[in-house]
Amino acid sequence: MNSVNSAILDANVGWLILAIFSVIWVWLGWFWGRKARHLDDYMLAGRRVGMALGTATAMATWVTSNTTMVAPQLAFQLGIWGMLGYSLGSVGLMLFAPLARRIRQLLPFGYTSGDFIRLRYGTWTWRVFLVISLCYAIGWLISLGMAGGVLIHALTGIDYRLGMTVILTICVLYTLLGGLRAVIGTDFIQTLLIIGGVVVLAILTINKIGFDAMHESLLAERPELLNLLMPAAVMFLFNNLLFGIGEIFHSNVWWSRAFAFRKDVGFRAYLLAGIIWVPIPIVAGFIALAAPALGLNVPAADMVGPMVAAELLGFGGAVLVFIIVFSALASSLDSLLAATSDLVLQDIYRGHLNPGASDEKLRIMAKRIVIILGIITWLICLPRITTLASLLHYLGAFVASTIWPVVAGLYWRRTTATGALLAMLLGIGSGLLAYHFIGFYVAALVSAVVSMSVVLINTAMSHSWFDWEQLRQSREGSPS
Amino acid sequence: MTAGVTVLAWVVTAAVAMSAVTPLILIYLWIRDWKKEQLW
Repeated sequence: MNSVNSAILDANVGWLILAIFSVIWVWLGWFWGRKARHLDDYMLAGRRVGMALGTATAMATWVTSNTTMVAPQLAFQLGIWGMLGYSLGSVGLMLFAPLARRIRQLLPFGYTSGDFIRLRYGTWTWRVFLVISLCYAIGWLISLGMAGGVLIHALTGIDYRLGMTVILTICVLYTLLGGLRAVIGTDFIQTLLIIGGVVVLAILTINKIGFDAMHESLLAERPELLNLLMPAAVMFLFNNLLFGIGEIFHSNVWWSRAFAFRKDVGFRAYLLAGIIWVPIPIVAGFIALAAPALGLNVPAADMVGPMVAAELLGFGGAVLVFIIVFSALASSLDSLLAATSDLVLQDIYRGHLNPGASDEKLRIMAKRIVIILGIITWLICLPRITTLASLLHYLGAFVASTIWPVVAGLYWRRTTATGALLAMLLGIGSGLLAYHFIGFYVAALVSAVVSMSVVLINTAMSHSWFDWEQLRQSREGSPS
Repeated sequence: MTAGVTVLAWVVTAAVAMSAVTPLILIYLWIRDWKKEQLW
């Protein structure tokens, strides 16, 4: 990313926006967190989150900086299918809707996805799942921290390390002060900012250029972007779909929300969040198609969105893009911090190190873990590792291997611990082989297919009969 | 097979219209939850 040439906003304006939003988020974190008396209040927002906040948090968390920055890039590289393919990311949210209801029914007092795997499949499958889940969560956390620094630098010219430190510190501070309640509350406001921002940008782009001029320029200069049968784009479509489902089904970010929502809210909130997420990549991505009509020379494809916005709308457009990107980054980073710290607290600290810890001790540890995670992320982000993107592609094989053990574990009594363990291990192994010998775009697909086959064979041949009542043990030893 | 201007305009207009309604839906749900004291 050639950030020096692509900065669309003065650094002082960037600092001013960062300062204003930092004060707002941290104050809201303190405000919402001040009444948290029990661990459930801090970790799961009291398990009483309603439809409005539930829908907004599911949606905002899934709108990452990738959605706002990579959607225009994909539209610029893969055309119409790039935008539509990215929209398929919403399928994961929609498919999780029935799972969220089932999770709340089976584990009314659960805390993490690890709780379910431990109670359903036993210790060893739980440990393998924890390794997968924690590797992915920390990898995603680091990639978001780095994306924060890179994007702030690219948009304003502010030094990478300073930008990364600021966004990480803000998110750690308000998550620390308010726990999941602060994360969900700020997500609502961030959702309105993100959607309002991209809609304004899209409407102004349509008004200033128009579909006819845009289409004419695309036909003349980049006709491949209008090709409805572009093979690369169609491949991307399926890989994105499976990767998204794997990410959502295994990650504690989504499980912790299923536990936090009111009993009757999970299904409706995830379904609605998925539906209203569908058009976001199209709206955010389409403005990139205006680049040929504007005669823009785009030095780096990932900066096409901000460049078009700044060219068309001047200072106001640049400010709007910065606020959208900042909100998208914060809404995902805070969710990941909270969910990962829950996983470390419940499954590592309480599950392995101190099973008898009191409510008070766990609340103190929850805050310490948020700080430790923040520091670890900051330290790893500091050198700006450029190979991180390929690491995340690598992890596609890991997360896709968990889809079937999770789904089968929730619905089928006959799936066994051995079957789930083998499905994950063989799925990962075959996915990694496919990654090396075929390409990154099939890693998740191969892993999911192998894992599915193992789970289906195991379930068909098994004579065991799991008692769902065992899952309600998550209540036992519940700290509050 | 190339997408015509009508396809492009239709896809984008539908997406923008849907997104424009989303904040209104969320605000409506917020007010409804708040009245029922079910925000959280």
